[in-house]
Amino acid sequence: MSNIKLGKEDIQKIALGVLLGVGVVCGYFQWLLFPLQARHKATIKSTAALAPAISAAKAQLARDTQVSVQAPLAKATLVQIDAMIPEGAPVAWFPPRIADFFKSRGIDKATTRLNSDTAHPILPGYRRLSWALDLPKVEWFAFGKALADLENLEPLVSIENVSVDALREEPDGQHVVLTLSSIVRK
Amino acid sequence: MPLHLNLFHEIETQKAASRRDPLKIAAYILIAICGVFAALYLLELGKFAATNSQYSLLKAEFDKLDPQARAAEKREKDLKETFDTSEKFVRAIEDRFYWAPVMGEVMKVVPREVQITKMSGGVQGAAVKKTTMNFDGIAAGDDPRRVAEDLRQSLVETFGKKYRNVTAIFRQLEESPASVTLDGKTLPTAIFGISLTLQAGEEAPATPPPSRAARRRSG
Repeated sequence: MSNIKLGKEDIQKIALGVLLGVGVVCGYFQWLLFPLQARHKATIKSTAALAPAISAAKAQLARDTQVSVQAPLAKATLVQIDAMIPEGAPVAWFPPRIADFFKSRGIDKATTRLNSDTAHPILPGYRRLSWALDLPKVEWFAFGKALADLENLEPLVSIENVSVDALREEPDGQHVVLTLSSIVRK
Repeated sequence: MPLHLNLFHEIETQKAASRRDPLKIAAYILIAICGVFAALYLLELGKFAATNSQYSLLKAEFDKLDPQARAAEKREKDLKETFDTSEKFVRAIEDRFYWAPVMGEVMKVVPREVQITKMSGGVQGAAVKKTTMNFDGIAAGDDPRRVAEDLRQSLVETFGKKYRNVTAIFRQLEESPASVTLDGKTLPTAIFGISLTLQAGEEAPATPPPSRAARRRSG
């Protein structure tokens, strides 16, 4: 070592070399290696995030297939129910329909009036109509049978209130007032 | 002793000086370091390329599945609405309160000695249907109050078999000055008013109380 004699020029060269080396190392890490590692990490993260998303998409497609199998039954039920509701304003078809219903069962006079018309609380797209049905004179057994038929044959009609008064002038006759509720389309 | 003259002395000295040139040595070291760094970079690049390739594959699969899944989700939402509406319709139809069987039971319960002059009733509630019925009438018999009481008890017994929380109370029970003839026998009468309440339909399941862990979290 004692043989090496560094002149001023040599020392300058070494200092320059060291500076250059430090610059190259810093530049290498700063602009090459670290950005590459960061991109690598980001890609790993994105890949990890994609796997659950793909699983979720596949599960969604599987669920869709399962739901699609059950759909026709539910749709058929709704079609069946919709078919029970005639077109047009309910006030135009409901009272004659009820009058015909009771007439065909021996109760000639039936008057139906609309009480209220509100949106159905649990069925979106449908309305609930409240009607007052007045049967001025009915015979008890005929009325009982007609009532049972009404409840069985008109599933969209429910009876909310019943009032039966014995007619003073006719012991076998009753005056009946019913409050009916029906479901119709909006 | 022969005299040796090294005529290459200066050349050898120059060669030695050249071998020990610090700049040259530093250049060698720098080249070695650069080589190591380049190898390290290539290694990282290789890893990145592999990961990127895997990512590209998954991304392509996801890009293919995602629109289908979104469409399926929308379809599922629509179908669930259809299911929901259909189920609500079925429940609305099946959970109706049926008056005809009630009337039939009333007819069976009322004895010959009783005449119902007025009957009224109403239903309230969606899932649990609370029904109230009022019966006004005339009871005839040796003890007309007893006849009316028997009717009240029969109503509770009969409807208690089919409905829940059945109660029947007298709103009115008083003797009437009028009398009736039944089977050729004149009998005293009593005017009565009975209020019958009952519940039909299933109660909605109660909401479970919050768990301890949930309470701790919220608290």
